[in-house]
Parts: sequence; C-alpha cells; structure tokens
Amino acid sequence: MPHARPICCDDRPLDRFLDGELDAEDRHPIKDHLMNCPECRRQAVAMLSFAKRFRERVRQAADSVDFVACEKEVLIKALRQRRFRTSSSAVSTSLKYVIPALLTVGLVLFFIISSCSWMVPTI
Amino acid sequence: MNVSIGSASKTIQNRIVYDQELVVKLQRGDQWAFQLLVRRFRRRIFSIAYGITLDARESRDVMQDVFLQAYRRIGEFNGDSSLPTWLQRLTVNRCLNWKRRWTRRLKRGQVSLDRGSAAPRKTLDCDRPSSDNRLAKAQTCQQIDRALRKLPEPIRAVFVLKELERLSYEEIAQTIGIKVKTARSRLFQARKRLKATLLSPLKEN
Repeated sequence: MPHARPICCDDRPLDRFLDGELDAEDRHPIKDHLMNCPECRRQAVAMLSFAKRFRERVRQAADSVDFVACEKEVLIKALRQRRFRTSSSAVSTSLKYVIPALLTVGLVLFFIISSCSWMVPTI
Repeated sequence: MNVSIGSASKTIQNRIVYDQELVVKLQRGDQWAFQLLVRRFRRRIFSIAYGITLDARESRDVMQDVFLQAYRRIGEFNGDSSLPTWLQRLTVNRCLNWKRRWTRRLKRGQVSLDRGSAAPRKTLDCDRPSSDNRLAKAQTCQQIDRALRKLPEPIRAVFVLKELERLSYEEIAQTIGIKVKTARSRLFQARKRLKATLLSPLKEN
C-alpha cells in the first residue's frame, strides 16, 4: 500500500530546500515538515541518494578516460587548425587586395573600350 | 572560522586573476596557455558531457570539440562571464547540438537492435559484473542511466549543472542562456520525473 501524501505537501519548496536556495528563515518550516512527513522525507532521501550515486557514476566514467592521450590529440588538432588558419588567412588577405584591383582594371578597360567604340565613326 | 572564509575568498580571487591571465595569454596565441587550459578543465568538461550524453566516447568527442572551439573563439571571449562559465556553456551547447543529438539517438537505436544479437559492447568497469559486488554496482549504474535517459536532454543538462557543478539557479540560467524561472522549472521537472522513475518500483513492491 503506497503512502498517501498530504495535500499540503508541495514539491517546489522542498526542491528549493534540497538545492540550498532557501534563506535560513524559510528553511526551518521545511525542516519541521520533513521531521513530521515520512513521505516527503522518503522522497528527499531518494533524491539525495540518487544525486550522490549519479556523481559517483560520473566520477567512475571520468576515471576510465585516458586524459593524457586526449590532451595530446587536442593539442595536435589545435596546432593543425592554427596552421590552416594562418595559410587561409594569408590567401584571404591577398584576395582582399587582388579582387578590388582586378575590378578596377576591368572598369578602366571597359571605359577605354567603350570610349574607343564611340570615337570610331559609324558607316 | 573567519580565517577559513578569508582564505577561501582569497583562493577564489586568485583563481579569477589566474583565469584572466590565462585568457590574455590564450588571446595572444600562447600554446602553453592552451595546454594549461586543457589540463585544468578536461575532467570537468568530460564530466558535464558524460552527465548529459551518458556515453563515454561521445563525451570524449564533445570535450575535444569544446577545447578546439575555445581555441578558435577565444578572441570573442569578452569577460562577460567567467572562463569556467563560458566553457560550461560551450559544453552544454555542444551536447545539445541537434546534429549530435540525432546521431546519438540513431546510435542508441542501433545499440538496442544489436543487443538482440549479443554484439560485443564497449563497457565501463561498473558495467562488467564478475562478482556480486560488481553486479550490484552494474545494477546501480543501469538504474541511474535508465532514470536519466527518461529525461529530455535540455532538462538533463540543467540537472547535471546543478548536481555536478553545484551551480545556483541564476548561474545555470546564465550558463545555458535561459531565464532563472525556466531553469527552476526544468529542475523541478527533472526531479518530478526522477521521483516517478525511482520511487515507482518501491511502491509496487
């Protein structure tokens, strides 16, 4: 038979209590409530225990990782990235000057050709 | 007591100064500073990623991506938030990236199909039950994973930042880029769903 939970029990203040987000003044009524309400106490204990086991689980996972190898891999990739960026930035810098220069030359040629064709007498 | 509080705040202050120095060096393109950054935050970033993805290989990839992204984008770091907050944000965003999420879902589908054919699976130590103790541990691991997998990833991310990084609601909101109210509500949802998953078998018994 599951424990019936009183209607007055509200999860939100209990969660804020567990998260340490309540002032000392607001903490007291929750503490009192936990002393008297076995169902809320059970839920609070379950959540705290789950959080602890979760942290332990993540710690175990982190322990099984070879971080030294990972670090080496990241550093190599970062160096490669840097080299690529340097070479690509050199190309982009040169293009920054080459493209306007080509456009200017094209425009000048266009005006010269069009003025020449205007000067040639039509038959 | 006052001495310990004073020394703690001094340590925090030193850490902030140290972070600022590290950022300046990184922005100058210092390779050693980058190595220091990786060494300092690798375990923390892996842990956040693992909490959200629940996959060791995936978390290693996320960790590498985060460091490379940080290396690329350190020029954009303007000190609005602290260096750890910025890295936490990159990590959560990387984990919640839609492409990555879909790949993960597809992979998970593949794994669940493979399990039927008893395909070998790469496991963590706690997944290998060779004794009673290990069996109990493996059951705990599975129970935790099952409960967490039931949470949608944006909700799981908030739970992870709260439980692993011990951030306040405001800090979580700042890290993920959501309202404080949303952060609180997501955490409430996470707890509600976890309670439903964890306490229902007990009630049945």
